[in-house]
Amino acid sequence: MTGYIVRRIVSTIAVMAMVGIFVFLLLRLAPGDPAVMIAGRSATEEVIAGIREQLGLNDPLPLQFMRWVRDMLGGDFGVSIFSGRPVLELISQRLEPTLSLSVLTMILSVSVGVSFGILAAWRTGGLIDRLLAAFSAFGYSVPVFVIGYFLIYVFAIRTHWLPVQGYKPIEIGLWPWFVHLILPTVALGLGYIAFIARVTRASMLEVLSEDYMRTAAAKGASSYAMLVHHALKNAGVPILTVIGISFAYLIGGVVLTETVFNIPGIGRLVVDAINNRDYPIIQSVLILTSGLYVLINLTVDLTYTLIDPRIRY
Amino acid sequence: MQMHKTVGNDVLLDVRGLETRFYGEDSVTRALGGISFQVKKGETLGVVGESGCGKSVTALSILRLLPKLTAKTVGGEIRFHGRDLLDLSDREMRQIRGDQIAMIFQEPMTSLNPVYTVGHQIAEAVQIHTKASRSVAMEKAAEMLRLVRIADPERRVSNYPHEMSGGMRQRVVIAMALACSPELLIADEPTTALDVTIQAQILRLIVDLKERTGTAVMFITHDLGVVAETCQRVIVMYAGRIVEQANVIDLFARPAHPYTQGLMRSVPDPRRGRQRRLPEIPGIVPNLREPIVGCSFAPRCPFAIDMCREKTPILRDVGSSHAAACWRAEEVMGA
Amino acid sequence: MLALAAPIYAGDPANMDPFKRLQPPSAEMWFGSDNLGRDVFARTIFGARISLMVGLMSAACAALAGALIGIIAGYSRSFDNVVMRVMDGLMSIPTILLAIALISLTGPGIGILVVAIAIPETPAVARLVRSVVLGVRERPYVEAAICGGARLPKVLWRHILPSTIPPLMVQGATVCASAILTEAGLSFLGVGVPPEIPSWGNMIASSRLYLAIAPLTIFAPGICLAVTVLAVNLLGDGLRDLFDPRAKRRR
Repeated sequence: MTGYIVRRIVSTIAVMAMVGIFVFLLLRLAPGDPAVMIAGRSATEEVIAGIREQLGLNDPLPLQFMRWVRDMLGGDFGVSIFSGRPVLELISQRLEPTLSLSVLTMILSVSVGVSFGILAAWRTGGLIDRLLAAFSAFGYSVPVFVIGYFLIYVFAIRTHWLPVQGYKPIEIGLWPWFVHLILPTVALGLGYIAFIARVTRASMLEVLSEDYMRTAAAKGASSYAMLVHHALKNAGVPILTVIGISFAYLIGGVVLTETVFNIPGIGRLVVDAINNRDYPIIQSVLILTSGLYVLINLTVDLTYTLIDPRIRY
Repeated sequence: MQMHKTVGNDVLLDVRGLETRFYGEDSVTRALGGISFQVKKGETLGVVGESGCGKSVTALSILRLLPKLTAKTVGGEIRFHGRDLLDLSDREMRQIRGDQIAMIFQEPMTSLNPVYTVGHQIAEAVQIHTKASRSVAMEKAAEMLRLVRIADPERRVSNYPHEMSGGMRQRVVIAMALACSPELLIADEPTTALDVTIQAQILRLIVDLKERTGTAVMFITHDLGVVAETCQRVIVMYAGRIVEQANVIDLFARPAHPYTQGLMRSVPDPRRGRQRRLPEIPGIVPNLREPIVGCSFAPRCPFAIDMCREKTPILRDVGSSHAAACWRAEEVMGA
Repeated sequence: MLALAAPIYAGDPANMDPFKRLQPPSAEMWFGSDNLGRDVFARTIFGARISLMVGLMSAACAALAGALIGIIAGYSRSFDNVVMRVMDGLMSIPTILLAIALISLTGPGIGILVVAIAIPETPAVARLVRSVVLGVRERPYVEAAICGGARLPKVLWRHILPSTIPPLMVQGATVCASAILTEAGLSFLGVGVPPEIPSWGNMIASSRLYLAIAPLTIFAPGICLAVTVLAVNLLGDGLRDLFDPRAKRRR
């Protein structure tokens, strides 16, 4: 067990190192001199040279890389070129909306997706199953921003049931916060629900044909007990894996959803950063999201042992 | 149609004209072609035949555990305590499964749920059918494990299936089946997947438990040796039909169907020496997807005459409580 | 119903463009103009060309690069260790963010867009091809070829490459659908196709302020986008059923 965890952490570090090198090189490959960018086009040679010296841009690349990694491990993610404020501060200011949206979407998608998948597997070829097939074809094909505008049009502009866009921080009140998040969550969640439901269905179908399901039926277990107690726990490992892997997909959707619904989250921060060529922000968000992804998948791997007693590392 | 004899009080299960079909993409398999038999209270009935002859389908039909999408029981009655199981609602059927009729399956390695402890799985059976609390049910589980002679049952209840050997798991499956003291236990090849030495142990266990609890047992097997050891009465199945029915002594003394004879000849007999090659029944099992004219065994039968290929023989008495579905049963018995 | 439609596309993916042009009856309703008085219908049709072109080109690049990396990784252990870690790393960055980062290097443009969409899609292809190669190289006929003294490139070309083609084509359809979606997303965010070229994504972006007044300026390209992606996905399903009849029966 510990041996496995250590191995797993080592490979995690290796992956993160790759991401680090990649992202670092991204900045160095960027056209134009970072020093010029910070100083502005009109700056004199001396000012630029000063900034170069200050940032250590004259040192060899490996040295710069080591320093960059060391700073990040110490929590220093650099300074925004555009606003001059520490990147970490900018990110933490934008964290709440993004986190709210992601967590709500996750809750919605996992609960609806898993139930949907179970019901579809329970009666293969039945109405719910066919509904899922159509729904998932739809969910995979309609981009989140099209769904988003459609929802806004129907539920906000036409009927005025829900706010058009924007975000209300949670301290203003749980209700305004929630109301503003309903449409974004549904828009972002639809594709995700389809995805989780498909995987749940496939995984459940496999389990339902196992011998022990017949044993459970022979005991007189009810359909609910069969599906939820006996099958779902066995089907859980692939479902969890997929939820972990699709985290990257969720983040991509968050960026688009925040733009559609004008939510001041990390997605907006990144999009604004591109327009300003604010590389430190882009870099940091890349590193942080990929770190989070790797961490989530590590957690998922370790959770397997809780679900399935046969898995021992 | 043959006349049904009046059902005495000692009859527990009365199956009449049971007909089950499997539906493929463009074919219909007549897995059971209308079979009738009875299980009396406390008796052990052996059901013998090659794989694919409909033994397991019979068991699954009785418990209504056939795959819903591909199989259907299209005719007949399954009277249990006088009530036709085919008329029951799903809920009523669930109350019978595991409580009054329990089943043991062939594959001990895969018939336990890998993610729950064995104690949990036995306790579940108890909790479904009684109002027992969790802790009472777990005590019952430990008690059942002791009954099936698993050492150290208090500790074993918290084991997972993968921590047990095949023989142990089959004991757990038996414990689970007997947890609610069923009146009928259907054992579908319970020893086939086990090592020979373990087979004998499990067999002895089932016989022993049957004596102690008075449960009737329907013992499905392809192994005539097992039948001889455990059963009082035997039905022999071939191609979805019953071809012979007798008490075990009569069956072995004077088999009345050529198929039964063939089965007996292909059992190794140490007295005949090792050198001799075992005779096998020539030919193959008929395809149940196509309609069969005449006796389904005729193409493989050394006794077959023209009549066999034209008219389907029905099960008829050939002795006291001895019936066979063969036109030439008397000649077969004399051979 | 959807499954019935699949064979229509499965025959020839090139038919998809005319398929959309052949909808004049419903297109009648789509006539309208956007905020600059441009014909939405015409722009939608032109947008189709850009979206499909970028999608297909990205998919082709990703499939090619992925196949190359996958084949070599499946054959060389040392290369495998290093490159697959890089692929893991790439997979851990959300597609859109990675593409954004790449585009931010040069600014919007069709060329960089194709590359930026292809790179995040490559690892999945590489993994798939690698697993196929790992499976195939153990097969007796490959071992026999190696024992018989065939040179490595020849073994790769003659014996291993062919078995990677069917899964690669199925994956290619998936990548293509995903690439079209990414292109639309990037253009929507304003970092994809330059605004002067009509693309479904930037049409939606430029019309978003007028959602209440002229919803069709958003929904026309939106629906086209969805239908196209759906068609490509169905093509992928069709291909999979074609190559793996077992999967079809199980569905």
